[in-house]
Amino acid sequence: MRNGVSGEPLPRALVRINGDGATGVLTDGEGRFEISDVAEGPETVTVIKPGFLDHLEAVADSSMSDARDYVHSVIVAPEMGDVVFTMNPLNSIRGQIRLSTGDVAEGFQVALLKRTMQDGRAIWQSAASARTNSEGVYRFGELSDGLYAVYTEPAMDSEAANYLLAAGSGNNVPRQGYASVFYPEAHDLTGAAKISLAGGQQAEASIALTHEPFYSVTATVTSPKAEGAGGENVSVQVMDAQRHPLPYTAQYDEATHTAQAALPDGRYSMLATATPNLGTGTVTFAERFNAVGMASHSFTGEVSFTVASRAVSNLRLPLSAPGSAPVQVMVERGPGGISQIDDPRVFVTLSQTGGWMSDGIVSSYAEGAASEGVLQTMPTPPGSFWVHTSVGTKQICEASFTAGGASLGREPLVLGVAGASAPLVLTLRDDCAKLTLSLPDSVGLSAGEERSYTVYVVPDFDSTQDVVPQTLRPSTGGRITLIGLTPGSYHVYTFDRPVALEYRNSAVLATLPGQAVSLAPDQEAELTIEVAQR
Amino acid sequence: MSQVEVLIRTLTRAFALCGILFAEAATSQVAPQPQRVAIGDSYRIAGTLTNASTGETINRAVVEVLSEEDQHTMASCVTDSEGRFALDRLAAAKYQLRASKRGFHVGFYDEHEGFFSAIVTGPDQDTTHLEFKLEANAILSGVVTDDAGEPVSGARVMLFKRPTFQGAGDRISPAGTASTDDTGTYEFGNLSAGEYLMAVLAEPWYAVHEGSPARRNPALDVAYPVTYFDSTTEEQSAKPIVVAAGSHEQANISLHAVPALRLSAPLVRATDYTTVAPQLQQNVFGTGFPYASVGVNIPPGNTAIEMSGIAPGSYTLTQGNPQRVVDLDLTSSVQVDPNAGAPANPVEGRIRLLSGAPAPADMVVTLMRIDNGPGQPAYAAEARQGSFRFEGVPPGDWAFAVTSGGRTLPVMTVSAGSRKREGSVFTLRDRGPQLTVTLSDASTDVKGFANKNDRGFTGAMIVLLPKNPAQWRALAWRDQSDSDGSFALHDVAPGQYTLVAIENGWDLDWTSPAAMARYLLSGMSVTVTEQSGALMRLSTPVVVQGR
Repeated sequence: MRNGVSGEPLPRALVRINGDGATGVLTDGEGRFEISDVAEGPETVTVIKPGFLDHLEAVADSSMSDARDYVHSVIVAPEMGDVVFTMNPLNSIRGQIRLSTGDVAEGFQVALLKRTMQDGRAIWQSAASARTNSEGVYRFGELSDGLYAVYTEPAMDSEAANYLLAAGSGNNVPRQGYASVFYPEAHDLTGAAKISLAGGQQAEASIALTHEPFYSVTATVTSPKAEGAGGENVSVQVMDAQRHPLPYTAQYDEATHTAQAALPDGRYSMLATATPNLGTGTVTFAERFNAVGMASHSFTGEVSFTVASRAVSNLRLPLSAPGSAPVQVMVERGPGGISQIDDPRVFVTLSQTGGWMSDGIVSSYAEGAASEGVLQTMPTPPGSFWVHTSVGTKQICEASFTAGGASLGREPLVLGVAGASAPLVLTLRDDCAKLTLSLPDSVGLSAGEERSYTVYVVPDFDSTQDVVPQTLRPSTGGRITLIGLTPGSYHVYTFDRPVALEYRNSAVLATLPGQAVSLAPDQEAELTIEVAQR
Repeated sequence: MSQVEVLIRTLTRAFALCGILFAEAATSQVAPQPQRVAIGDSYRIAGTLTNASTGETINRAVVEVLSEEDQHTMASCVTDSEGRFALDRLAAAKYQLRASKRGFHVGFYDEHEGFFSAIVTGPDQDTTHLEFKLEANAILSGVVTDDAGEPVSGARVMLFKRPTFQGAGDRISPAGTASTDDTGTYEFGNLSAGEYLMAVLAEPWYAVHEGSPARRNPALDVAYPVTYFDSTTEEQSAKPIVVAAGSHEQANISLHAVPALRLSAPLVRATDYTTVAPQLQQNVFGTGFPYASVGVNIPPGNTAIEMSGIAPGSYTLTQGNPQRVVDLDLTSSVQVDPNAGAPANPVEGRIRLLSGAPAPADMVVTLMRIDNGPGQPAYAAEARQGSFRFEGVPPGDWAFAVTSGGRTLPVMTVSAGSRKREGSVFTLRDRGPQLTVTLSDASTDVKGFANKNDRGFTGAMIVLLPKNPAQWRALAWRDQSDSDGSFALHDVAPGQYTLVAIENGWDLDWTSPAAMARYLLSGMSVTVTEQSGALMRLSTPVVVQGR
């Protein structure tokens, strides 16, 4: 066992053979381990040590880095030589929050964002949160290699400021606090310094916060339901002018039907959502267990406003039933036609785009049988979304997915409070191709750690169907067949380690060697992947 | 005035402006305030905010007045460089006064154990010389390390607080949980002063318990016993940590891995052919924690369940059908006999309200052990339509407590057939007849004044105790007198009581008949009946007794 950064032996690391729970051993002072009486053939091995990560996992840039479970495939044979595993030290970020008042910044909430890959796109996702200790210091430990950003959550002068205000008291209750700040001194992610971590780095990221007035914002929430009907849970989200969620909290006061927040100067919007209490009779028993059923009883509303050095109290936040645009489905039939038995189920999910608090959050949007021609959609809050389509029957694939003629594989779907503004049209086809990938003969079974290859088959055309990376290794046959591929031209990218590929970024793909493949309708193609020679 | 009275009533309107009259630095930034003072809205609440333990003034703290009815903030201001605050143009009314500042507990004026004095403005009321004290947060931090001296990440550090009084019903109670970070560090950042005990639960990161005995690596089949400060595994040797207000204490703990134990317990079938899995709980200072970090294996035959990876220590195992409760002090691997332990009988019953009204739908019944018998120290069950059922409770002395919507309803009597007991304590024997738990749903508020030298006295501890000391656990009401001497005891059950008001009484063990005897002699007799109505005003003030 070696330290992948220093090259030195790594003592006190746990080596386990999976599936045989009893077989575990710690490496000795020289980093050596030995496990005897292991059956011949392929075994999978995991290595564990606090503060370290298997080096293949550490460099994978995977969004699953928390799983810490990279598995090595080892071909066990008599008299086999040493197997060498490598672990990389994890990184950390610590910093002090300093306040302009000189007070100690105790109990401030600090959030960590990490640049990760999700479905071929690079996004910034929430990776962790921490509270400053009694000295105003925060720490994020055990971080894998990658790019990070740090921001402070907004904080009021005191926790008492989060309680509700009596009606009309906004101007009698001056509030002060500290706005959300990105390291080192930015107001949003765009201006934030990106912290690049690798090889056991211990980064410092201290942030200075300035005490400033916060102003009370009160909006009267009106629901289309009869006054006093009650039985609703109202949640309120504070967003920036671009409708991205912000970490400021808003409360709903049931007694006065008001949404209340305290905010520093700036432009905002508030989104309120009312969902019925499960106890009330408005929702039927069946609907409670059905997302569409629950959502059909929900109401949403939005109000935009500007805070400029005074309390804002005359806002109205009317709620209405959310709108939606149904997805029309058309099926292009090839010469064979679709048999009715294979009527495919179609699932469309959305992932939010933009805004550091919500980027990448996935919600279900539409599903149904293709033959019905229209998919049932679920009410979705306004925003900008990437569309992901999956089809339950593998002989069926996407031909195109458009919103008002624009390709959703290329541009995000924009939904307002009233739903989509243009018709959504998903076209499927039934003359999809198959592609069998295989390892070259030069990659075969031999004793010791087996090489495994990660393969992406990326279409050269727009598609909302995500590319699933495939893993090929000799011990599992070295072959895999992909079905349901839309006819057209593709590039195949092969890596000798796990990689989270930003395959929707053509600039990234342009730097990589790929094998071009063209698939005709109904074709069953074969491809031997090109692997780098060692 | 009690902090738990978060009442939802109609909101009375009042207007106030933050008075920054003292603040020399701030006056230049403040526009002249309009002189439109309504007649009567001319009262002021003002004073100085200080650190309760050091006496230093606290600057830039937020001081708020809250509506007495619903605790909504009506006005607030910030203390100046000498800790002074002033809230002006208040109507004559009763207000709650609250102060907050980072690094201090949010506190109400003259707060003790959740009780505080509200401020009453009006003619003849001095509300401008208040000495408002806040308690600074205490901090407890430390590092947890293992045998190799390396930090233990993800250890569960549990803090317990010793009761203020050694009264009969007071137990060592959980006071917080923290988790160590990757450097083994934990911190409790907002403790109140008191005496604490600490226990650490953790699993060695390299522990491997699975596999056949021949293949198992004994160096990895290890566990950490519950480890108490100062690194002892004996609960009775746990060293108390005395924390003063505003102090920062350090408590490091080192863990020592020992061979893990195995426990085999019978797996039995219930009448509906489902299997009943035994439940293991780890006991720490009388509180039971489900023991989750064990490997579970069911050997062929499905007659037993084997748990591995168990650390030596004190456990409670619930097994079998009908249930039996076994207290285990594990020092080696064991096979638990199906007949071991005390039978835990189902406890069923109905809730009855004194008024005869139907029982509320959302009640929770809790049983708390008051002797040293086996099993958990407490069991809880929901009561639906007034019926409750506990699956298994070992015999012994138990106290009933019933809550509905966050409110505790006093238990008047518990009866089973011909056995009837006043108060909330009941002895459970073998499986018996249905219990009837009678609660008071009376809504009589007892209001009065506490006087000293014929003037209203603020901050006195007001205690209303039943004449029969056996009922003290279930039927006792407390309050603190407000700035004009007024107090209110809410939802008092019918009965015969003695009312006492004690100056500086907050460190008295009011649950102890011996400690209270002297004050009860000079107390005021109060009788509440079912005919007392919603409000009972005491015609004469209760005289405040000195310590």
